[in-house]
Amino acid sequence: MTAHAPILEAERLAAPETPFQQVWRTFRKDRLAMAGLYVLIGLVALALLGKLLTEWWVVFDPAAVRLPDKLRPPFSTPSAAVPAAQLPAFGVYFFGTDELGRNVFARMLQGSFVSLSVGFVAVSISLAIGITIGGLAGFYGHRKWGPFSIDGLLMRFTDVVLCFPTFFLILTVVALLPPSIYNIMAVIGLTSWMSTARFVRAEFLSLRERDFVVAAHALGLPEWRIIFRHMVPNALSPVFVSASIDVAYAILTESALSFLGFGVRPPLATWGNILADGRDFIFDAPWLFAIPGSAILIVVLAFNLVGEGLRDAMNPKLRKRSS
Amino acid sequence: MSTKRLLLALPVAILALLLQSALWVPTLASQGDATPRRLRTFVKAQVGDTKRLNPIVNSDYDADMLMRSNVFEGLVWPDENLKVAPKLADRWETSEDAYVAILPERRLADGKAATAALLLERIQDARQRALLGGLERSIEGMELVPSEERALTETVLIKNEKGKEEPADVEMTLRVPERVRLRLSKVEPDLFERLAEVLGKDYFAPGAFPERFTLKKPEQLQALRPKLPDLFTVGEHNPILTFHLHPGVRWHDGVPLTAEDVKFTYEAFIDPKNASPQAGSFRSIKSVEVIDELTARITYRRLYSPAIIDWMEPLVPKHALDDGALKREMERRHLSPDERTKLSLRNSDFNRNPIGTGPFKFVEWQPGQFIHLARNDHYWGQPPEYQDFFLRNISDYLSMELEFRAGAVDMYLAQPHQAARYRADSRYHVLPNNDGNYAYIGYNERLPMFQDRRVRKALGMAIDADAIIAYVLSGEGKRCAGPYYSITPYHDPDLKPLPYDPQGALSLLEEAGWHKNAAGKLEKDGKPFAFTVVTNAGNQMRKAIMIIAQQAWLALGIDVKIQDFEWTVFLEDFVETNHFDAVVMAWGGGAINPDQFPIWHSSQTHHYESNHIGYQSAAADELIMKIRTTYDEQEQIKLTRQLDRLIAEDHPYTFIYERQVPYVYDRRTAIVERDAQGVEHPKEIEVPPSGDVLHSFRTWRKFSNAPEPLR
Amino acid sequence: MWRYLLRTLWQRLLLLVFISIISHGIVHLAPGEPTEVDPMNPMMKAEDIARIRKAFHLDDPFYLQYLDWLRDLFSGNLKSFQNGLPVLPQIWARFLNSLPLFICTTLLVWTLSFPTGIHAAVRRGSRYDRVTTFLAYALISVPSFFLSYLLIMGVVQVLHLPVLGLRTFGSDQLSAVPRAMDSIWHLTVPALMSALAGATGVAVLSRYVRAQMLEVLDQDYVRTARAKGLPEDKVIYDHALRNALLPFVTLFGFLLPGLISSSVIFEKIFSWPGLGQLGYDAIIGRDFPMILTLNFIAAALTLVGIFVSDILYALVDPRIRLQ
Repeated sequence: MTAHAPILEAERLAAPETPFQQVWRTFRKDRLAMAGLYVLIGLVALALLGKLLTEWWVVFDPAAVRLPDKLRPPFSTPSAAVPAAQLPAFGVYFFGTDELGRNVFARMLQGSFVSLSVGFVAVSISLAIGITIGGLAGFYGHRKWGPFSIDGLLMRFTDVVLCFPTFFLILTVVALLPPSIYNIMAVIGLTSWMSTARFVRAEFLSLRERDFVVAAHALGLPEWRIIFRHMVPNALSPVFVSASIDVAYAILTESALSFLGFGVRPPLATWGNILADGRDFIFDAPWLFAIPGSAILIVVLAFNLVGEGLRDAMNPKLRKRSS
Repeated sequence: MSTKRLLLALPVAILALLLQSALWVPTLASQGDATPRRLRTFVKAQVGDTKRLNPIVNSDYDADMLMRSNVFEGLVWPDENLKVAPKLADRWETSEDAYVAILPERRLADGKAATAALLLERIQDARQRALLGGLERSIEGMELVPSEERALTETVLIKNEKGKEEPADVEMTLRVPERVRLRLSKVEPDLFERLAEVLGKDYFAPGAFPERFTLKKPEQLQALRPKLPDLFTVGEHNPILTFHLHPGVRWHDGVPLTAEDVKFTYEAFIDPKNASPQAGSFRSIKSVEVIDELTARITYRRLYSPAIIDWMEPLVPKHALDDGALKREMERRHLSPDERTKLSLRNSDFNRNPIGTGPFKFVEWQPGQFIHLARNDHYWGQPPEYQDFFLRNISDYLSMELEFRAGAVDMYLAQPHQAARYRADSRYHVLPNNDGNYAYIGYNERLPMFQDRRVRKALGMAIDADAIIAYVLSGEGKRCAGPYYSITPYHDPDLKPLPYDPQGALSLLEEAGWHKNAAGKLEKDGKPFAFTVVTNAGNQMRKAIMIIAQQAWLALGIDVKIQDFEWTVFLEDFVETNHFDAVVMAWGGGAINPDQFPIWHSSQTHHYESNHIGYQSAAADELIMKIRTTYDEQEQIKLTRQLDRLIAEDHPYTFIYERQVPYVYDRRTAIVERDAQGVEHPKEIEVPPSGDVLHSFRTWRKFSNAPEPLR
Repeated sequence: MWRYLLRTLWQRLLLLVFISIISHGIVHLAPGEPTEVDPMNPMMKAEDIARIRKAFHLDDPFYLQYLDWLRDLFSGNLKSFQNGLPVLPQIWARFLNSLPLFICTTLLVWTLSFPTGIHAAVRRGSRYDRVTTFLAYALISVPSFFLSYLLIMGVVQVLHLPVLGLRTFGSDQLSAVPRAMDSIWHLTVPALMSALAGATGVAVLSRYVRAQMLEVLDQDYVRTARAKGLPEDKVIYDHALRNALLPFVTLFGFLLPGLISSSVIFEKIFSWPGLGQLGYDAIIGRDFPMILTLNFIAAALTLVGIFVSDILYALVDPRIRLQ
């Protein structure tokens, strides 16, 4: 009986829980991360709703100009000078109006979808490139391609991109390309994968020398199994941290570009360009600046907290300790 | 333990050091206390960077205005009423040399071939018998000028092998026949019409005369052909401006100003090597002669009545910029042979250390930061009250406001919403600075949809320009309807802007064949009415106009898109290459000039020319040319008013407003008035009729207390 | 070792040439011309514009422009399109302006990050840890110009102090000490802002410190040290910290180029006449020689940084072999 106990114990621990469940179980305990997650879920819903209400079934018209009602504070009601057709939904400017009397609430709704997609698309591009290049260089780096090693080639390429002063490069490229939101997404994505690649590579390089990988090699395990079973999970935690920072970075970069005058162009509202435009009226209408600024802060924060929570939850070493 | 303490102590120490510095910083209230000189220092701010300080090669409007009104001076300048007034030139006269070519192939009225003797005799006869409708009184003398070979260089655009247009200098000799020169005491634009009545109707008929030209490269003839009729005409007006300079004027380095400097300035402007953006203004000059130390005579190729206005351009010193000076500079800077060939006025040290004749001397320039000027104590006129003058470059209006509030800027051109706030604050003063800059929406008339005047008018009627002025500009603007600046006499005072009338706009569109379809969108022959409006990014006013126009037109059922582009892209890809549907833009700077040729003449519609919208009107062309050749002021005003009305009626632009950019400043800045005892009194600054607030700048200073308000 | 150094040096140089060619390509593909051409001036003729273009060699073939640029750069003859002044002295002057801001920021970032990060790691899960974690993520998440303007608003509205520029304009006549203090004050606000809200600011770095410390604190030798009965502070600050410092060596590589690229936003907000501002103006004005040279210098700085960090890394971590 006693001889079987440790085996049973081990099976009982290992069998019923999938890795996803393990992560989720840990993640759930992190209150900040959970708060972030709720915010994000709410945000995605809001963004879709915003898209719906401002474009497909227009309840809030973000473009309607009402000059007599310019720079109204939040929760004010429209003046008598506004024609009936242009009255805001529910007869209240929840977030006030901007310098042309446009409903800031409607514009924020419209902007939520745009700003979110900038973040998601850019980071997907960045992660895909970064993990591929970093992983290849880290694992197959010693192989030769002609006179060059793969690692050398890939890392020199990463160096080339990395050596461009990133933000300066983004500015130059955005100033050069026709101003479109897709270009901005692509440029942010294409210029932010390098750190991911370097992280992944560094992690792979050091993992390759670690005992358990060396042992796995010695045992003759297939390569893919070593990569995906032993190395990737161990290399991913820093990637997730950097990915979470990258979403933040992408949304922030968009707002920074708007601030510098290179952001998404006027017909489309993003939180970034509402914020950048609001800056001019900081003394006259502080809400024009405060509302989009806080919105960006909250959303980006939510991304970061979720990322942080994920990292803790996925890190096997930390998990072991905390449970 | 020690590591831990160090790690904690270090940031605390650094932060403490940094934050205590706040206690030492001077503020607006305390600025004069520690340093009285601050009150004698004027700090103005502008958005954007300065490029070159040399007026010849400059294209930066604000820095240029600073330099030309304070460091440099022109022969004349606009006075408080926007009239041309003496500056470096005490007075000037206009006269004319008129030439009549003796062309044997042309017949006189009685069928005889033209000869020198015959022409002289006929003209003399007409003079004596007073057959020239009063013109004979202006003729002071006449003589024969022998035939000559004249070397000419003309710049034309020639397509290179890649099909790109490149400028090429066509060198040629022109065989000028024997001519009769008439010396006139004033410009007589009708002279040849009058003479034709005596000599024969067709004698002065225009022609190309290609046989009179020998080109160094004959293959260039084709490109030159359109310019031939201008290069040689049978009757040639040569208006003459003679300037008499103010005696005793010295450049800042002590060298006296002479007529040689006038001549040199002209040469510098037109020298292709300098690639001056202002060269166009001086193209119609034939020669500048130095009569004596203080007299310069400028002869024009053809009638050009706005000529005097071009001489508001600042003069530059010959002794600092001519070939000899450049050679000295090469030695001084130890330039390599390659650099020597490249050294010109464009890259001379002068551009960093300019020398002028104005009330302020140049001291220092930190690119992207400021230009520092100091009072010229040896100024020939009334010297300024301020000791130092700074023009700061600040990147945006919010930063400017922050600096202004902190007392680090004394005056700036505020955004309307900022000005509205300062108007309510008794510590500050706000004065509107009118500069004749007007904003418009231009419609590209090359596109079929904009060719119908009714359509353009309808688009204009849909826009509530008064609301734009009231809300977007916070009232800091004035409605306008035509191209002439409203305070000049050229503007037709009876001209009424289009009414705001969306319903009327719809019926006009209906009339023009645009009908609403089932979806409520306008269409004509099955095609929807759709276009894109563009403007440059970064200008809040233009962006607002664009958005408001879009909303107004969408309401009419027009499918309007809007886009803004970064300035250089906007120009290069859209405006200069005429590649746009409609554009929101502004014209400025030419308020005093009756000449509207570059913007409205039908010959100016090519790439990089200013008639971007492709406005074509034979009637306007004729008026424009007439205005250029009319020397009688009253007559000219009549013509400009006609043109103002004609263009307003054609509605090629929707004219929106003339801006009144408000200058804001601390109320302690005031005009210095001295009573009989020499005691100083501050007097509030007022706007002169010309709208130029800075006109009285030389009498300003900052006092430690604000003057009693006048009102 | 020396052969390795020589080889990488050579590779880096090659890289630099590569980068300069690519950036040349990017810039010359850009639509838009130098702003010399003034559209507000109706007197300007097509001939004049063509002449200006020619004077700038804008119509030359690409490789010729590149060679011209290279030659001019190294002979010191390279002139800015915008003001006709030599490029290198302008960059040097701006560099001298950027340097104090950069040093001050770096100093603040590094001195603030270590104590906060270490403390958070040591007291993992405590209230302090949770608060700083949250604050760090809030700082990472806030658009830097949003936070900066909030601070500026406060300083201007409440303290009535100037904040923009190198010093209070018109303060030249003050005596030496107040003038120096005035300069320091003008340095303080932007440095503090870019240390707090910058892309590589306190928030990011203290997170790294915390993560590294956690990693290290879990290692066997720390346990051994503790088991030996060493005082906790000695274990943390001597044994653990020293090992945790290892990866920070690589961060030096990313520090240098930040001099140009990460400074754009803050220099713009605070009207700081430094390299970032210079680059921004160059991009706006299509000042090709200036953009290219700045890019080149930034790339060179980055390469030097990476080179140094590679060597340092190899020196401190024997597991990485220089091959």
